[in-house]
This record gives sequence, C-alpha cells and structure tokens, in this order.
Amino acid sequence: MPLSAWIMLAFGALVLYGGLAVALAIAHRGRRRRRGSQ
Amino acid sequence: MQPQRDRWDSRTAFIMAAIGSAVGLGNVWRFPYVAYDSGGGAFLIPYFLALFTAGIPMLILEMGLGQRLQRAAPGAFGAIRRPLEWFGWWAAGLSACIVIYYSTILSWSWSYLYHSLELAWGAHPDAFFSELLQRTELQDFQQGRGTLGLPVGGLVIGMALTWLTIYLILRRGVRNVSKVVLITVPLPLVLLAVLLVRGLTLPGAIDGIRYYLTPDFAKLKDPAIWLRAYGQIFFSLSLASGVMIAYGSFRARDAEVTNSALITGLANCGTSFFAGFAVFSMLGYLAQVQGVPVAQVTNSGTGLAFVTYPLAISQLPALNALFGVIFFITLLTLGVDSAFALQEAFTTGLHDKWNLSTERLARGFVLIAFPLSLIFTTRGGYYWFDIVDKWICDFGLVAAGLGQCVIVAYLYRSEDFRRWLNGVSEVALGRWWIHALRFVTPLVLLWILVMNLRTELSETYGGYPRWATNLAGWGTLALCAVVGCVLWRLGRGRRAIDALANREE
Repeated sequence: MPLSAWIMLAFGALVLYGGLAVALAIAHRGRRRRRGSQ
Repeated sequence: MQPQRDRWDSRTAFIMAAIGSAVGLGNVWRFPYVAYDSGGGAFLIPYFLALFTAGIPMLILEMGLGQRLQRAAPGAFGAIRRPLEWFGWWAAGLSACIVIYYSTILSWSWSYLYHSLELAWGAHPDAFFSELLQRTELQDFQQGRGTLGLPVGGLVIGMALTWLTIYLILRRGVRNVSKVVLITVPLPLVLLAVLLVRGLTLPGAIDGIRYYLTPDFAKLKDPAIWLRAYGQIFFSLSLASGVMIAYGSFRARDAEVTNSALITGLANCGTSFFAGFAVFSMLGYLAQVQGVPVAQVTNSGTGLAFVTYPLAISQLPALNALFGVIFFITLLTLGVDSAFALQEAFTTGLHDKWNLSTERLARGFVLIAFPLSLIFTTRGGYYWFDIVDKWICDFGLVAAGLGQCVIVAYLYRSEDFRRWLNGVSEVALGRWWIHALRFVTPLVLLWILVMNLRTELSETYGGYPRWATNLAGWGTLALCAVVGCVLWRLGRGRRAIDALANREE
C-alpha cells in the first residue's frame, strides 16, 4: 500500500476516533463534575 | 394538565439511539463506494469539512430545538411561527414515507438471512436477487406491463417480521427503545469487526484496502466531489426528517446537547470509515478469486449489499453460511433502529398534538404502514422503491433541510438559541455555528437541490417513464404536503401548540 494511503488512514483515524475519544472524555468529565456538585 | 413527557433512561441511551438512527445501511453500502469513487483517501478532506460545517451544526440544531421546545418537528416549528407547523408535518411525513419504503430493504435482508443458511444465491447472486423479488424486466415496466401484481410471498413474510419488530420496540415508547438500542447499536459494530477480521485474513484483501484509501488529490478540483461529500454527510446523519428533533424532545430541558451531537456525528462517520475496511477487504479477495481488477467488482447501493457481497461470501474458503448469517444480521440490526427512529419522528408529532398513547400510535401506524409497504413487495415494487427513494432523498430531504436551516437561522432567535445551548452544554459553540446555519449549509443544500432538479429535467431518472416518476416521485412529495396541511389544520391540539408558542415568547 502506498505511503499516501497510510497517511490518509492515519488522518481519518485521528480525526474520527481521536475526536470521538476527546468528546467522550469531555462527557465523562462533565458527568463527574455534575455528580460532584450534587 | 399535560402528562409527564416520556424520557430516555440515561444520556447514554439517548446517544445510542441517536447513533442507531444515524448509522444505517448507507454506512455500509454507500460510504465506502462514494469514498473510493471520489478520490479515495483524499475524499476524507471534503468529507470532514462537510461534517464540521454542516453535519454537526445541523445535528446540534435538531437535537437542541427538540430539547428546548420539548416537541417533535411539527410542534417545534409551530412554536417558532404557527403556520410553520405545516412544514414540521411535511418533514415528519417524509420520515413516515421513508420508513414505509425502507422496510423493503429489511424484508430483503430477512429473506437473505433465511437463504444464507444454504447460500441459495450460489455463484449467480444477480439472478437470485431478481428471482427473489420476482422482478419485472425494466423494459416491461417502461411499457406499463407488470408495474404492480400480487405481493411476493417470501418478501411479505420479511415485511411482516419487520413491522412486528418495529411495533414490539415502539409500543412502550422511548423507555423500551432505551433498552433495545443497547443491543442493536453495538451488535452490528461487533459483527462488522468479525467481518473485517475475516476479510483482512483473506488473500487480496490489501488490494481492496489500497483501492479504498489511495488518495487522488486531482479529484478534489471537481466541485461535484465536494457536493457529494456534503450529500453523504447530510443523508447519513438522518438530518431533516425530524428524527433528531423528536429524540431531543425526550430529554430534560437542561440536558447536554452540543457534545452529544459531536459524539453522534463522529460515531456515525467513524462507523462508515470502519465499514469501508470490512467491505473493501472482502472485495479485494473477490477480485483476486475472479482474476479481475477491484474496480470491476466494486458496486454501490443494493448491488453491493445483495449481489457483490453475497458473491464474496459464497467464494470464502470456509464457514460461508456463518459469514452470510453474520452479514445479514448486521444489515438487519443496522436498519431496524433507523426504521423505528423514522416512525418515532412522525408518531411523536401526533402524540404531541393529540396526546394519543404510545401503544395506540405504534399499533395504528403499523396497521396503516404495513399494507402500504406491500406495494414494494410486488413484481414492480423494486422500481417504485427506487423512484420514491430517489425523490425523497434528492428533493424532499434536501428541501426540508434547507427550510429548517432558514427557519432557525433567520426566523428563530438564533443568537439566543446559541446562548441557551452554551448554558446547557459541555462544549461552547462559537458564532461560527450561526454562520454555518445561515450561509454554508443553506447554500450547499440549495446548490444540491438545483443540481438535482437540473439533472431530473434534462433526463428521466433510471430510464423510468415520466408517468411513473411523476406519480411515485413528485406524487409522494405532494401527498406529504397535503397530509401535512390536513394535520396542521385539524385544530383540536392547536391550543397546546399556541400555549407553547406563548411560553416561548
């Protein structure tokens, strides 16, 4: 597989799964904060 | 006094249901082909741009609107401007039409699931598909012969199973859905992972993946590719049909919105990207077995799901029936949560206006929709399905999305809406969100609509006769408009919507 295909694979995975991981981490932190304030 | 509104069991249940609605058959059978055909890996650039400038802003709009106004699309738009309730009914009517014809694909999947036990399609899945549907030849259909006929027995059973499943899931409302989505959303992902592992361990798989990912940046100069990226994002996120507005309305008014929309959008696109590997690894193998280039076995739409992929399954070295069953269970679980979400978009509107019980609405809808859906199980049903699908997606949903953007961005207090969203959300929305809704998304949707209209006026879609496209295509859109008008004018529940509008003021 050419290097350009690997780069696009990494780019896609980073944006989608990296973005999803960040969003889930924010949601998790938000839930902990809400629990703490109750 | 209004009874307590149904609520999701938890935020996780809401996000799972939203992902289940967005992730459908299109993620498996459309995205990989569109990506490959639109520049491979390079397509990810316009695709992500479309996701962040149109897809996620629209998701935030829909989820936020439903949650803030605590109403499905008809009530929500009626609260913005009373006559706009009609527009909400029209969008909800489109979702009702979609679930009626979408059930056809699920009925095919049930039939294929049964036949996959013995790999009944053998080496000629194309002929098997036509035989299963007892499909009229296109030339006959064009000349008005075999346009309907009696429903095909096997498909009627599949259709009955589909509607029974939808009824059983929806009869107890969103609390039941909250539990069902905990199975129907992760299960297809697990099954796709199984198919991916099998695909990647086959000879030739890497050739398929190379076809899928190798970027062709020259294609990005073509405006049609950018249009395709926006179209793909728009359709794959279940936007404009009122589903996300209805789902949002079942959340508490102070629940989180923006980050939930972000998670839903990214999970949907992540599934599409992932499904591409499962599909193309298998196609790479099929190409090697047949001794042809991957491009020759690549297909989109029903052709990929019911012809090419089954062929690849029957060519596997071992456990063919098992992988056949896994693939069709994947399709069924992907499709069923999109189907009940679409039904919910329409019936929640009825519930809001007339306060009918969830069980009665689920039963009534299924009893009306099931006989209507039988049209698509007749000998000419495949062609009617194709026409209605084309018109609802290319004209109905695009126009509904455009209307939705214009209404919220220009007629609703969008800046006030953004501040409210920021007050309840974990992620702050900048003014870019309003600009995306005011300019980017409506312009792109208008562009798509004009291009689609131009194509339709210059050539008849799929070689179908004009009377057929006028009847099933424009006719369905007009019928939704008429039904929307009737439901809007039926006044018993107008007081509730008026009260809602007053409360908003």
